[in-house]
Formats: sequence, structure tokens, C-alpha cells
Amino acid sequence: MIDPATCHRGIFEIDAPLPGYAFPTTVSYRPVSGRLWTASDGIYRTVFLEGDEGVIAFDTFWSPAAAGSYRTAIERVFPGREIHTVIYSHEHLDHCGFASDLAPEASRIIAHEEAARVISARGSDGQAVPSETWSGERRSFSIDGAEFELINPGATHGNGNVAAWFPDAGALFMVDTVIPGVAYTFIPDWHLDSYLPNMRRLEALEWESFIPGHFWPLDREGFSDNLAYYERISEAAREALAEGVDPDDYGAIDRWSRERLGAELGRMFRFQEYIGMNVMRYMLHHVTGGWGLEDAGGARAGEPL
Amino acid sequence: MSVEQLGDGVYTASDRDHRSMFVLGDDGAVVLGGLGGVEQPPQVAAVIATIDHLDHSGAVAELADGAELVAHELCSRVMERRGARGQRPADRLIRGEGEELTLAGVRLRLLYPGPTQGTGNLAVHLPDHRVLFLVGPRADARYGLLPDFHLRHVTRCWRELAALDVDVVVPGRGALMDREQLIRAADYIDALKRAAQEAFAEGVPIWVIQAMEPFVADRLRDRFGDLEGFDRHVGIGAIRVVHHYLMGGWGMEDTAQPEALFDVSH
Repeated sequence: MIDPATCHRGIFEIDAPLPGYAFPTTVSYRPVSGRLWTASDGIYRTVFLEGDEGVIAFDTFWSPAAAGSYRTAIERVFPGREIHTVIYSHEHLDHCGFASDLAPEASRIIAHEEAARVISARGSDGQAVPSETWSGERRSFSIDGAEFELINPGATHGNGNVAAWFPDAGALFMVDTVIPGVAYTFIPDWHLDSYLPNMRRLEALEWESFIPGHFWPLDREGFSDNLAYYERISEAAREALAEGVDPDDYGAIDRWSRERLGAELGRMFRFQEYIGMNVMRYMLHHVTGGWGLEDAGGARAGEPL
Repeated sequence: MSVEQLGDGVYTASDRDHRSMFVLGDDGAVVLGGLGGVEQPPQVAAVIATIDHLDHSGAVAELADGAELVAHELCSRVMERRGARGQRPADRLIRGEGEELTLAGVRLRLLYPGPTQGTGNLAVHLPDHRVLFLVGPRADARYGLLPDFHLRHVTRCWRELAALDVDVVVPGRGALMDREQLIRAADYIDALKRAAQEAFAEGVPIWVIQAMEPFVADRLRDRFGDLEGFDRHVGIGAIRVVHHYLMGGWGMEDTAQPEALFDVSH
């Protein structure tokens, strides 16, 4: 058990212990294919690779304690092997904030340059700054006998968010983009202007299993259906605006969403929790035009990867 | 839509919630945002797009047809990339931390204090009229999801602007404010940030609004419960704010070096 008073604190500013960051989690794991494994605490999910000598870990989980549990899981599968490489899927702390707890010995921390720029400027406690960056859309890696490709399809969520493609395993891993069920809360830091066309570019790749950053893997149909859900919510948000629903009034939006979408979508995973927030976020996107440069004109629809 | 005179040649126009401002100059009006609801629109000499969001500056291109369009360089870059009908790149760019200029004989200080809401959000100070225009702060608590707020810097920026010697703060939304109300708006957001962090620290399930809302409302009600909209908006605001801490903020705007935005080439 780590000390909530002295653990890494991310960007928390209050002068108080953070038991939420110190609470131990249970991380389970299973092989995917060949060198590829996946690990999850039931909510968050990631992947790691068996190298000839050591381990390549993607992401760090969401807290110092969860990063420690992830390390324990890897040590159980590959005892005595060093985690020599950590690869960040993007820059958010709840997935990539605690490499200092996961693998302080890691000599290589790799991120896309767009993620690395934010990480360096953020200065978050526990988030190790990448030692290597890459740029552009695609980069093949061969590390310790493991081969894979990182792909940045364009602005989707966060900064420098990349998919990891494992052709030998028929798997594609990407975080906080396609997630089973309705979208998470208010679809935080999604770049809705370009999210759908850029995600659809990944459908051109050969893969059978999509491993998301949360919950369970999906097949290609599940991936496509999930993207179609976003289209539907975007349309529903326009309907709500046209009917005069106040885009700042969560209670009114939640009632409207349950009433209008319940019959159609009500059986989706987490509908009851988040449908109102999902619609609210899209309403505000339509009203404001998007949030920041990442959300303006970044769609690469139809461009081959 | 209603129009209210704030001083000699200075007016504000508002609908139910959104608000803009215009100043009559020597050879036309300088418009901040839009001119909706004005029965006899004056000739427009210049339009200032104070923020990139469509609900404030979505018609500046049409309004500035034949007039000069002014915007901060960061705002103009987004408008250009977005390509929305009704927006276009600015004719005159305000760079860096802002500048003082005279448009149609009206002396203005266009100030960019850092990331607050949206991109390249300019505060407009009319020193001769003791008026400040600013999109973001509100006299009430009706912030909704705090759309495109940059929580790391926003209240520091508002507090710096509250030090200006003005009598009236014209917000982009809601009722007119004074300097004390601008400071109170910063106090409210800071208190919301603190309460959201305490919720996380104390094990409140931060993704459940039915849990976050009562926790944060209880912490803030004594100081801010009198603000209109407090009970309806505090819960969704707390969900938004706690995810700032969970995720680390959004983009370069929420880092310790937001000035790097000026160097990002796209």
C-alpha cells in the first residue's frame, strides 16, 4: 500500500492526502495472441508485449496504485523481466500519468510528438517525460523482438493519440476513442469535428479485434456500430437544439434524451448514466463550433493511411 | 433582444442570455461580437471577434463585410481552420498579450491575459469609458458544462483583469457585472475546483453526478448558494472540473506553458 500523503499527485493542487490515488486495484490479464497480452482492472484496459529479454508496456493505468498493480500483473506473467519500454497512447494522466510508478527503470518512454509536447509543458507529478518521440501518421517499431506499428489517424481525443497495430495478432489497440456502450460522461477532450472521419480511417487496416482503453474488446462490427452511435447523438443534439432545449441545462437535456432516445438506445451499456451528458456535449459542440485548434478542420476523411 | 446604453456612445445588446457590445466612433461603430436586435444598425467600421466560438462570433464575416475584422492571432487561426460560414480570418491580428489601438476614433485596449475560454479570447478595455468586455465570467452560476474553459489559468486571468480601473464589466453572457462580481466569479470557479478535488480525495465516485452534485453543493452552498442557477448547474460543473484533474487538463492551454500555443505550427 502506498502512502496517500506522499504518492505522486498528478496535477492535484489541494494540500491533502489522496487516498483515491493510493487505493490498490486488482489488475487481471490474459494473452491475446503471440507476444501480445491485455490487462484490465475492470474499467481501464491496456496491452503489453513480451520481448526477447524484457517487456514493452503500453500506458500506465490511472493512478500510482493502479500503475503498481499493473506492474505486479506483468511481473506475474513474466517474472524477472524488466519493463524497459513504456509507450504512451496519448497524454492524459488517467492512462499515461504514472510511468514513474509503473517502471522507474524504463530506459525508453515513447510518445507521439504532439502528446510529448503537452506532457513536457504540463509538468505533472509522476508522469515521466518521453525519451523518444515520433511524428507523422505511421511508424513501425521493432523492439526487443516485438514488432508493431503506431498510427496517428489525426485528431480524435486528447493530443497525439495513436493506435497500436499488431498485424500478427490481428489486433488494434486505441484508447478513449471507441469504447463499448455510450460515450463516457461528457465525452471529455474528444475532438468531435474530426473524430468520426479520422477513426474510420482505421477500418482500412487488417484486424479482427479492437482493444479499447476501457472495458472489453470489440470486433469490427462492434467498432463500426460504436462510431454510428456518435453520429446518432450528434443528430439528436441538433434535434434538441431545434426544439429549444437549453444546451447549458443538464437536467432538461437528460430528461429530453431519456424520453426521445430511450426506446431506440436505452439498452446500450451505460445509457442511464451518460446519455444526457453525451447529448449535452454534442449540443455545445454544435453551438460553439468546436473547442480549440485540435477541433477545427482536422478531418482527414478518405485520406488513405 | 434589448439594447442598453452604458455611457457616451457605448451600448450593450443582449437576448435572453448572450450579450454583445458596440461603441459609436467617428466614422462608424466598433462592434464586439454582433449587432442583433439593434433597430437602426449604425454603419460598422470594425468588428472585433473576441472569441472563436460561433455563438459569439459566428456572423462576424457578414457583419464585417466592408469593415475591418479584428481578432487575436490564435482566434483567427481557429476561425480560418474551421471554415465556418460566417467566419473568416481576421484583417488585423492582435498578437501576443495584446495591444492598444484606435478604431474609428475609439481608444481600445485589446488584452490577451492567457487561456480563459475558447481560443484567443480577448478582453476589450475602454479606458475612456471605464468599461471592460469579456466573454467567460458570469454574474450567476449558470456555467453548464463550462464549455472550452481552460481551468488551469482562467481564474488567474480574470483576477488580473479585475484589477483594471473600470466601473462596468460587460460579460459575454448574463447580467452586467462590476469588478467585485468578476472577482466573485473567479472565487466560485476556484471553490468548484477545490471541492471537486476534495471529492476525489474522499472517494466520491467522480463519474456519478448523483454522488458528485450533493457533495460539491454542500461544500459551496454557504458561499455561493445565492447565485442564480447554483443548484441546477453545480453538479454538471463539478463533473467537468474533476475530470480536469483526473485527465491532466486539455491541450497546451491547460499546461504550465500556454505561450507555446504561439509556436505550434499547423
